This record gives sequence, C-alpha cells and structure tokens, in this order.
Amino acid sequence: MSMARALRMFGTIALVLAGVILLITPYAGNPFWTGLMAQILIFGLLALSVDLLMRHTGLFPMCNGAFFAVAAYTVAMLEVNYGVASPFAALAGIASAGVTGMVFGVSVRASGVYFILVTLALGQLVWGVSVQWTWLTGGDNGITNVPYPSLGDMRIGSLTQMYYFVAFVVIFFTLLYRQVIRSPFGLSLNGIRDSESRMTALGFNVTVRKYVAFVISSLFAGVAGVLYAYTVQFVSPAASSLLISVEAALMPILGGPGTVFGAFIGAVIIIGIRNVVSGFLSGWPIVMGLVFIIVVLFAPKGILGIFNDLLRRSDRRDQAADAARKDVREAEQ
Amino acid sequence: MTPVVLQLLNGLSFAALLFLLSSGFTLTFGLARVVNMAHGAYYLLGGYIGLTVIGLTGSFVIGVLAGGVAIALLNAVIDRFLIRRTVGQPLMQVLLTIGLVYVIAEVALLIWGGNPIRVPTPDWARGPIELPGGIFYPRYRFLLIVLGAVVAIGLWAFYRLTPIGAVVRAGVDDREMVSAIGIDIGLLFALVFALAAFLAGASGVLGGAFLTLYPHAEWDTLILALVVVIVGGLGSLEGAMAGSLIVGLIDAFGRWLYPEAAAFLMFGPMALLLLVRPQGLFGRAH
Amino acid sequence: MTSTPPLRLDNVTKSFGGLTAVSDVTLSVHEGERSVILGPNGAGKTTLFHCITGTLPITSGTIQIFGKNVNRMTPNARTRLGVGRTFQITNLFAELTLLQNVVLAVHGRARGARRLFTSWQSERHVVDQAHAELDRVGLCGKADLDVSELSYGERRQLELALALVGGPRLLLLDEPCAGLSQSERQAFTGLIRAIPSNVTTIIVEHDMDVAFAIADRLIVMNQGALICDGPPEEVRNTTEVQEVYLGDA
Repeated sequence: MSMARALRMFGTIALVLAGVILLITPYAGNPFWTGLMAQILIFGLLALSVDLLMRHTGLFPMCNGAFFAVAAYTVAMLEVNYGVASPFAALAGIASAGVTGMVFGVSVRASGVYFILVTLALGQLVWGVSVQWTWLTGGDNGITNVPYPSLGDMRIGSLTQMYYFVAFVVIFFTLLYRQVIRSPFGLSLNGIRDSESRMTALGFNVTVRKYVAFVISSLFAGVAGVLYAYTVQFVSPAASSLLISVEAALMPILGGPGTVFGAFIGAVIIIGIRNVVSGFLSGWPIVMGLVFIIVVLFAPKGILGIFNDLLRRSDRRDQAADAARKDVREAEQ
Repeated sequence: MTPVVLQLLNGLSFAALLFLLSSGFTLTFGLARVVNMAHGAYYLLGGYIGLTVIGLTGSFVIGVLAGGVAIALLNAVIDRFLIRRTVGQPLMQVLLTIGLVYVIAEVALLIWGGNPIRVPTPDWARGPIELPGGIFYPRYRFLLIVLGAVVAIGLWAFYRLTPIGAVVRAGVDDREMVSAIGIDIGLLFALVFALAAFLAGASGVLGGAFLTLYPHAEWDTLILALVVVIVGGLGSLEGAMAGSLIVGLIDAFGRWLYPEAAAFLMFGPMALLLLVRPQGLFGRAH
Repeated sequence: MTSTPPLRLDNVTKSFGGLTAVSDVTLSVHEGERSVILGPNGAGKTTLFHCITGTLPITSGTIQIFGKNVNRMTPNARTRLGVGRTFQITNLFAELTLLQNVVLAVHGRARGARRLFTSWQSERHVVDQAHAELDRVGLCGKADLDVSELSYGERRQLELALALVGGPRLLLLDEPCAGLSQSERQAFTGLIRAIPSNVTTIIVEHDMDVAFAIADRLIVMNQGALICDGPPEEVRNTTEVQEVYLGDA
C-alpha cells in the first residue's frame, strides 16, 4: 500500500473514531470524561472564534476569553440571582458578550503588535471586574450552583443530557461559522488579511469590516461562555483569566489554522494538558509552555498542516513513481 | 493636604518601578521590533534570584545587581536560540514568549513556593523619612523615586544625546545607514537587549521589597508594562516615562478614592486614548 | 467633451518635514485622455500618484475628481467616485485564487460582500462578471489557480484586471510595466491601449518607450514640479526635457 493511501486511511479512521467517541463518551460511565469532552467542544468553539480573526482576518486577538467570561458570568448571575428563564439568560449572555465586543472593538484601530497588546490589556479589564466587584461577581468565590438549562417543564436533568445538548449547540454553531467563512463577507475578510491597501483601493471600508468581524467573533465566544456556565455550573475569575485567551489562540494554530477541525484538535491537546496531565504531573505548566514553544518553532501550520504536507509529498512521490513505471514499460515495448 | 501628598508620593514611587520595568520593553521593541511577553516573568524570576542572593550575601545592592545580571544572561540565551527565530512574525513571537512565561513561572513556583514573599529592605532604607512640611514617608519608597528619576535621566541622555540613542530612535529601518556611521549592529542589539533584561530583573528585586513576589505576578507585571507602553506609545522612551507617571498616579489615587475599581481604573483612560490616538501619546503611526 | 474634468489639481504641494516632494502642481486632464506622467526616479511622480489616490494627504492645494473636492476623502471613498488604480509593487490577495481576487474587486465596486450566510460561489452574477473580467486581460482558464502559481507577467495582468473591474471612469496606473521583459512589455502596452477610450487614464511611468507607446499626452516632472506638458512629439523636442530626462536616459 502506498504512503498516500495509508495516510488517507488513517485520516478517515481518525475522523470516524472521533465521531464515535463524540457520540458514546457519556456511556463510558465516567462523569470526568464526559465533562472533559464537553469542555473540549466548548473550548473548540472558543478557539474558532479566535481563528475567525487570527487566520481569516489577520488580527491576533487576546481578549476572547473576556467575551467568554462576560457571557458565562451573565448567565450565572441571571440564573442564580434572578431566576431568569434559561432561553432569556442564554440570549442575554451572548448579547452581553456582543456588547463587550462592540466596546472593545475600538482596538481594531490599532494594527499589528499594537492590536495584540491592546486587546490583551482590555481583556484584563474584565478580569479586574470579576475579581474586585465582589457584590456583582462573588469575587474569588465566584457564582456557584448554576442550574442546567430548562425550557418550561423540559429541563436537562443529567450531565449526559447536558453533554448532548452541548454537542448539538457546538455542532450547530460550527456549521454556522463555516458558512460565515465561505460567505462573501468571509471572503472579504481574507482579502483584508492578504492586503489591506488593495481592499481600500477596491472601495471597501476595511476598518468597518474588521470591526464587524471582531463583534462576530465576540458573539461566538459568548456562545461558548454560555455553554461553559451551564456545563461547569460554576463561574469564577478563572474563566476570565488571560490564560483562557492565550490558550484559545494557541488551539487553532496547534491543530491547523484556518480549518474547523484544527480548532478542536488543538482543544483536545490543551484541555488535555490542563485537566489530565495536571492530574499526575505537578509541573504541568512547563509542558504547556513547551507546547507553545514547539508549535511556534517546529509546527506553525499545526497538526493538520503537517498531515497535509505529508499527504501532498507522498502523492507527488506516487505520481513520480507511476511516471517512472510507465517510462520503463514504454521502454520495454 | 497631607493625604494628597502621600498618594502623590505613592504614585510616583510606583511610577518609578513601572518605568524601570517598561523602559526595557519599549526600547527592545523600538530597536529590534521584538515583543517579549516574558518581561513580567523576567521581573518575577529576577526578584526571586535577588531574594536568594540577599539571603546569602546580606547585601541588598548585590541582590539587585544579581537579579539583573542573571536575567540579562538568561535573556541572551533565550534571544539567541528562540526569539531570533521568530523575527518578523509578531504573532509567533508573542506565542513563543508566552510559552516562556509558563515555563519560567512554573520553575520559579517549584523553587520558591507559592506563598507571597517580601524581599527584605536593607537597614539603610528602613523606617520613615521626614520631608519638608512635616510629612513622614517610607524611606525605601522615597529612595525608589530618586532611583527611578536618576535612571530615567540617564536613559534619556543615552537615548537623546548619543549616536547609539539616535539609532535606537530611528527604529533601525536602515541597517546599512547604521553600519555606515560605524556602529556594530549586532553589538548594539546585544547591548540594548542586555540592558532591557537587566532592568526587568533588577526591578523585580526592587519591586519585591514593597509589592512582594508571588505566583501570577508574571502576568500582573506584564499587563502593567503593556498599559504603560500602550498609553505612552510603543518604542518611545518619553512615552514610557509619561505612561509610567500616568499609570502610577491613576493607580495610587484610584486605590485611595475608588478602591473597588482600582484594579482596572487605568484601562479607562487607555481605551479613551486609543479612540483619539491609537498609536499612544508619543508613538509613531506604523 | 463635458465641462468638468475627471481630474483637476490646483497648486498641489506635498512635503515630508523639510523635503518638498511635490511642489505647486496645477493640472487638468480631459475626459478620455490617456496621459503619462514621466520623470526620472525621485521626480515626485509616485508621491503625486499617492496624493491623487488618497494614500497620502496633501500639504496644500486642492484635488478635484469629477468636480468633487476630494481633499478630505479616504481612498476607498475616492474609489467609489469611479476611480480604479494599480500598485507599483504587485499587490494581490496572495492566498486566494484568481477568481476570488476578482470577485472581491466586483464586490468592492458594488459596495457588496455584506452577506454572511450564503456562500460566495452561489452569487452567480458576481462570479460570472469576475470570469468576464479575467477573460478581458487574457487570464481565462486560470481562474482557479492560486496567485502564487502565476508568473510575474500574469500577476501584472491580474493587477490590471482588478483595477478595471466595474468600469472605472478614471484609471490610475502606477508603473504598470515595471519588472516586465521587453516582450511582456509589448503585450502589456497592447492591453493598456485596449482600455475603452471613454476611460480617462493616467499612467505614472519612468520608461520612455512605454510612455511614448501609449500616451496621448505627456506630462514631465522633475524635482517635484511639472516642467513640460503636451503631445508626445512636442514634448520630445523640448530642450528642457531633453536635458533633465532624455539626456540622461
């Protein structure tokens, strides 16, 4: 069997396996793994929200964790303190992330490194609120006992049900995200990434488009935040930590920037280090740091990028081998 | 009147520390377009190393120098083998140096533990000092203001009055021009990087004596440095001075007047400034 | 001929600090005219070009496009008045296909690309128009290639295609033949001559052969100022021009 065929088969098997794991995880009977899978899906969606700006628009945001946290806190507060019905609480959560995105959107006026630094600092604003405004956010204690969502008499009653709910919502928004990327608007974002000056010369208002992309990104991050609050049932300043933004930015790069699957592959690894490796290795942040460094130095195209390169190379080798064989045959005749 | 003066002094002493911390960050960006997110981790590690050296030698000054020199050496290695491989790719540089933050901070945690530790101040800097008007102020923090001012003037003279400073200000757009006026560019980069890292490490020891050293300080400190350079303008020494003063004073008066908002009060002016002047007070549009 | 000229400059000056790159240029072009701004390197012609497109703000004077004062207009607003431009250094969407490049140009002209939930391929009229524009510059059949797979000459063709999309009434070309071989130049000047005659075209050029091959009118710049302006044959014979430009060419 040729290398290319082996690789393709490996890819197919991995994809099928991922689908099966996605479906049957709750039946493995261990709530730890179910919760972990739910978190992987949620952070994968957050990673996609980053990739919309990073890979598709050419902006590198460091504040998507803040949108995530604003949405999570909003849901938790409305559910726990005011008993607001879940659909309204969830919508309010997404909307609050969007409003935060509209405010933080001033940062699209800055470019390059400046944009990175500005969004990083703005994200810390949310962290400051979550730690200091104890009356609002519960401070370091956070907000506990967030119920599973319900709609009238229908309510999610177990982690298993919650897991499938998360999977459904994440898949829905992932498909929506893919549609946005392939839309005329999405194409115009790619244009901005490749050449802002050309886009301007063609008559586009580049700043407005970046701003809209920024707000859309904040809405996707908000959806992830809402799911997080309902799944983990507890929101604390850890949700608004800078590390969330930083790790959500690494996920798509690690998995394969610009691809939908890449974001989730990255989420598997990062969430795995955070929740599994940390269980048996006390110095686990060193592992996390090394992953950052290794990805930057050796795998900037991510795991899928390496896979695709391998595939292309073995395809070319196969073609060359075929051609050579043909030559030999013709020479023999 | 006295509380206002006290807060003013608090603001100035914090500004002095912020300047020591952020001037290196801004200079390395101005010269080499390097964005080193590990600057806060350098501060923390330098502080811990200084702490240990003070414990061994009993000398605060040696501790400060040791913290600075250790970080300058560490940075030389990091720059040579890691950062230099990401030149011209700001995104990758940011991610790489964030990875370094994880590693450095965790190593520090494993060695020095998770409890906040205060760097002991030397005898000659302990107790209060009486200022004109019968105001008593901690001697150490007063000395910090003096040190900050001295370093600021020294750096400013270097930046404005020497040919090397002119090159740093020019942002090194044109390497041939630089070689033409007889400056070895490699040596210049090494010098400025060493200076920047030294300042970060030394300020960890200086800051640890009144802010304590604790896990997560690597991020807190980085954010402060970032706000300073965003307000002042990335790459500008004058910007670092102005930014430090603004952030230091807002922090001091904020803690006093609006304690519930102190942690993020400084972000407000930063966001407003971005609206009217996205490149910061002294920054150039680029 | 209409009374409002497509482009009119009055006493336009641009200085950078102490250096005056464009000094007191007054100029009016007529509809349908193909003018070439010629000058040696450093004459200020590229700076003047940037002032007209709006990438550089002018220091003093006024620029009118189709009778509108555009001094305070952004480059993209000027584009919407019906101005198309090319870039001196090839400036394409490097990671997109040729078709996607031109589709974006079509959207930019039509103030489109606002839809979020339909795929860009599903807008047939946009895609069809993009194919037609590619045909016009001889790039049909390469629509699905990435820009990175094109030769340099083909990139210059795509550059021109992007500027021509949507039928601009005023076309600004910044050294369109820079970096092309002699034979590519000839083919390319053919493409420029094939631009419909109702499109007013202004070309910045430092190559004399190209300039004489395409110009109805030659405007010669030196040290930031206009030194000569007229039909090519007339300009060729001006002693001033021969000294500063033709002399050292």
